[in-house]
Amino acid sequence: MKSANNKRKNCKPHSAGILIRIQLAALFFLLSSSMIAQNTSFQKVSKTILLKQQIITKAQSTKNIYCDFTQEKHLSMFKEVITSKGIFYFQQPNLIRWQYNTPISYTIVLNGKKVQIKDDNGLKEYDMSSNPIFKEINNLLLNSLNGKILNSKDFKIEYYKNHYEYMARLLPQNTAMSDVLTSIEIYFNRIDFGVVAIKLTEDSDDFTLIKFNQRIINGQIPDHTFKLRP
Amino acid sequence: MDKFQIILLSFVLSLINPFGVQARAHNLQKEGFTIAVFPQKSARYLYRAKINFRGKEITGLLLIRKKPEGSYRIALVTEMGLKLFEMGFYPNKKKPFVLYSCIKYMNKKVIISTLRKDFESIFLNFSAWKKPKIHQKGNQYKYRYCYQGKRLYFCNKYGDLSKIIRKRWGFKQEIIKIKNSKNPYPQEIAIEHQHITLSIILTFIK
Repeated sequence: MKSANNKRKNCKPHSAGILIRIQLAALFFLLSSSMIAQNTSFQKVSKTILLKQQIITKAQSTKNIYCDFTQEKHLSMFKEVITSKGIFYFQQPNLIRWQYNTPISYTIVLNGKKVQIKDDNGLKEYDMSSNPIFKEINNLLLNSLNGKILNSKDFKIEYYKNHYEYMARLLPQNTAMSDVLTSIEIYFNRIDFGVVAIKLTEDSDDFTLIKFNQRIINGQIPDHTFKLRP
Repeated sequence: MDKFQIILLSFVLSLINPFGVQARAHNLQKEGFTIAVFPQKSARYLYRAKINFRGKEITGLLLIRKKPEGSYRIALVTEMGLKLFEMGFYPNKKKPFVLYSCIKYMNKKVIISTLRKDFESIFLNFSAWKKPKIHQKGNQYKYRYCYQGKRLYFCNKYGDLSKIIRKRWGFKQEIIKIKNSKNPYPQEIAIEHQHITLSIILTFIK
C-alpha cells in the first residue's frame, strides 16, 4: 500500500508538470501563430504616392530579370491545383521568355510584335496582333514589370502591405479585361520593391498564382535567349 | 396470322409488359461489357490539348475529372494559366450539359456545340448488350458497337476502344482515334472533323 501511495504522490507532480508544459506549448503556439497571422495578413496602405513612386523607380532601374517561377492554377470547382515550373526572363523594353519545364516542355517568347512558341511539335511563330489572348497577357506582364500598370486608367488600384510584401490590387475598369479577369494582384518585395508574385483572379474564384523565386536583377542574359531556334 | 399482325401483337405485348423487355435487356447486359473511354469509376486526368481550328492553333492543359455517378467535368487552361472553358457532362441529369465558363473569344454557339458533341462521344458509357459487327482486316479483328444509330464504337478483342465515329443523316461527322497502350485511360485521343477544319489532339500527361 505504501509503495502504491508513494507512486501516486510521485505521479501527481509529474503529470502536473506535463500539463503545464502542454499549456505553455499551446500558449506559445497561439502567440506565434497570431504573430505570423499579423505578419502575413495584408492591411491597406493609406499614403500611396511615395510607395507608388518607389515601385516605379525600382521598375525603371530594372534592365533585366532572370528567375525561377512556379505557376499554380487553382480551379475552385475541381478543388485542384495545376502546378507548372520553369524559368522566366525579362529584358527591357519588351522581351519576355517563359520556359516551362514541368509538367510539359513549352517555351514562349514575346518580343512586342511576334510570339514564338516551341514545344514537342517544333517551333511556331505568330503575329501578336493575330491572337488577342497573347496580346493581353503580354501587355499585362510588361506593364506589371515596368511599373506602367500602376499609372493605368484601365484599373482601379488599391495598395496593401504586410510584414514582407507590398501588394497592388488592380480591379479592371474596361469590359475587355473584366470579361476575363476580376482582379490582378501584384506582390512586391518590401526591401527591393521587385515583383515577387502575380495573382490573376478569374470569375468563379479560379485564380493563377505566379511566384518568382531566386530573382537575379540586372545580370547577364545572352541575346539569343529571346530568339528561339528550331 | 400474317407477318404484320405478329409484329403488331408483339409490339402491343411489349407495351403491356415492359418488365419483360427490361428483363431481356438486363440478361443481355450481363453477357456484354461496358464500353467506356475512361472505365475507372472516379479519376482525374491531365492531358495536353492541341486544338486546330481553321488554321489557328490553341494549346493548353485539359483537366478531366470523372465522378463515381458517371458525370464528367473538364477545364481547358492555357500553358500560361488562362482558363479557356469549363464544362460539365451529366448523363443522368435533366440538364446533361452545363457550360460553366468560356472566354468571349471562344464562346460561339458552333464551337461550344461541336466541343460538346465531341466530348459526349468520348464520355459516353454504355453496356454493349447487342452482338457486335465484326470487321476483319488481315489477321486483325475489329468489333463494332452501335449506340442509338448515331455513334459507332470500335474495339479490339480485349474490349479496348480504338475508334469512335459519330454520324448524322448517315454521314460521318467526326472520327475519334484512341491510343490506349494497355492503360485504363487513353494515351492519346485524336478528334478529326470531316466537314469543318477542326482537329483536337489530347496527349496524356498524368
